[in-house]
Amino acid sequence: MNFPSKFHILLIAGIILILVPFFVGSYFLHVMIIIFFYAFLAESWNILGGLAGQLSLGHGIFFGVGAYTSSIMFIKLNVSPWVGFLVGGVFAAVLGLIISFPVFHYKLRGAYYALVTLAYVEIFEKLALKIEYVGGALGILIPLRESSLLALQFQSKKPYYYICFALMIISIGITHWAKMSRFGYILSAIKEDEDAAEAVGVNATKYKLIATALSAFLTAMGGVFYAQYTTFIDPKTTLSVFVSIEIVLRPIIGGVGTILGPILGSFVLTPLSELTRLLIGSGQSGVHLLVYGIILIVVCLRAPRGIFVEIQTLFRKYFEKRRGEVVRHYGTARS
Amino acid sequence: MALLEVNRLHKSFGGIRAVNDLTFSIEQGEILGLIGPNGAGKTTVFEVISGFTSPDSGGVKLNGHDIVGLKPYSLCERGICRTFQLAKPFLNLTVLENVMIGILAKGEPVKTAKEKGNEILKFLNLLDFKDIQAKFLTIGYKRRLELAKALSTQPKLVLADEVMSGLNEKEVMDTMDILKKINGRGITLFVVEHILHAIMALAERVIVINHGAKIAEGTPAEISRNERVITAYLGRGFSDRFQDLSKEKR
Repeated sequence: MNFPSKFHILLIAGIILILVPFFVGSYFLHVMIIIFFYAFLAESWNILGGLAGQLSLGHGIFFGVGAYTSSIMFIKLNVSPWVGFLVGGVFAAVLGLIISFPVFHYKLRGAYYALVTLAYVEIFEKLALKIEYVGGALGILIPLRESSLLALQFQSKKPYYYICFALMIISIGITHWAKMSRFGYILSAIKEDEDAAEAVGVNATKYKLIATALSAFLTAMGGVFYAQYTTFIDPKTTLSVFVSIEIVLRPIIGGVGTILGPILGSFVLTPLSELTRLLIGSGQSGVHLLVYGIILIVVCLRAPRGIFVEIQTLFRKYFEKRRGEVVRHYGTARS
Repeated sequence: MALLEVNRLHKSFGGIRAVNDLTFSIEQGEILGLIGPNGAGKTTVFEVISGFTSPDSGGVKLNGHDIVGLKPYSLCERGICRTFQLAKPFLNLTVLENVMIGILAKGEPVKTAKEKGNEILKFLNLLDFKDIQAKFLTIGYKRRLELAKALSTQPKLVLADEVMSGLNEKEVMDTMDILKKINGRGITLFVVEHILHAIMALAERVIVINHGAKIAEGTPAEISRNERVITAYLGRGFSDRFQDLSKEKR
């Protein structure tokens, strides 16, 4: 490969992102945090939705379970959110397994799987609204205690920035590992054709469940971070279909199943949603959804494999032209 | 003892009896053919043996152990692998990756899977295509890739469902050679095929079914003379031609 390697580009981007907080204001930092945050969630979804090809619309559940678990533990038991990351993650993973096992076992695939997960989000949202112990419709207000790493509460935005940045990097690392390993190859076979995968000895249900648990665990960690960052959670904003859709849109626009597509999706979509909110005002709620809709239509028509794949292809073509080479691209789903 | 024993198998879909009281056995190391008119239930027999469908009644035994109700992947672990009538390669994966999946499913690491995958592709003369996506292959190579995928699971018994349909004469000859080569490795083959001259040349024994029931069993020569088979499936013309061919060979 003669063109500037992906690794170098990422390294430079990483260094810039590490230095950013020293030069920008608080609002810009907030936008960056939200970008990282959605990038992390998108990448977590990507393990199940992209690598294993299961279009989950139920990630709102895992997100909500993470946020609620850690917040309740924090308020009622005074447990650090860092423990909440682990406990919330495990809860979400176990819940994911319980929900998904019958779905996978009875071979609900494609749109049917998506519909079942959608139904589950609705159920859990209603549950959270009804149960007083978790705050009901009022939600949970997380009291500001002290600015400390242990309580994951800070006066400045910088620590949040770096924590969220780290989460995003971790999710990229996990996805990269998953994709290059035995696990990833097997998931890609399941994504292509489940019957054919079973015919060559793949226990598809087992691998889909592992992917679900991993994806749910990470998504719940995002929920924990969200609760500590915004200090307020309620069913509508943490445990609803809207959360699921916010998560799913980014990988779809960036590139489902690629390692960096979901990250790119967040870098494109999140600032846009912030911008529309800023320009049009949050009073006109729903305008950012309109913008999402338009972008989604354009991307689906012009770049159905996602922006990332298109950019990659353009990039390759450009550098091959410069070297005067004619290379036919057969490509692979795994590149 | 037979490798696979099928005993009084029944399977109905609604009012249609796809498999009706079918009994046969497959011996270790042989090539057994299964022929019959369209809709005779050949693919259903395969689906039942490979675990994709469960039978209404009857038994299937592999090396004397009952295997009815086991899932496809666990049958695959036990050494039964099927190919699909409509070739089902993993279209967006490369040819090598297609073959690697079966090896990885056995628990091998990626590196070993690549090495073993390359060996299998070499064995089946597919090595030139290893880095292109399966969707770019012609139908002939797609079917050959099906066989490669089956081999990747280190099977004892391969159920080959019409691996020659839609191929030209040259490709049929190649596929026959490949099947013989696979059989030469000690792998038992159970082959459904509509290309009769191919199966007659290939199989040591042939079973003929019609409406899900067995109407004849024997060597290709016996089958081609069997009155019931001629009326149900072969037709007079094929029978005569086949007799002539057999005479010429002698």
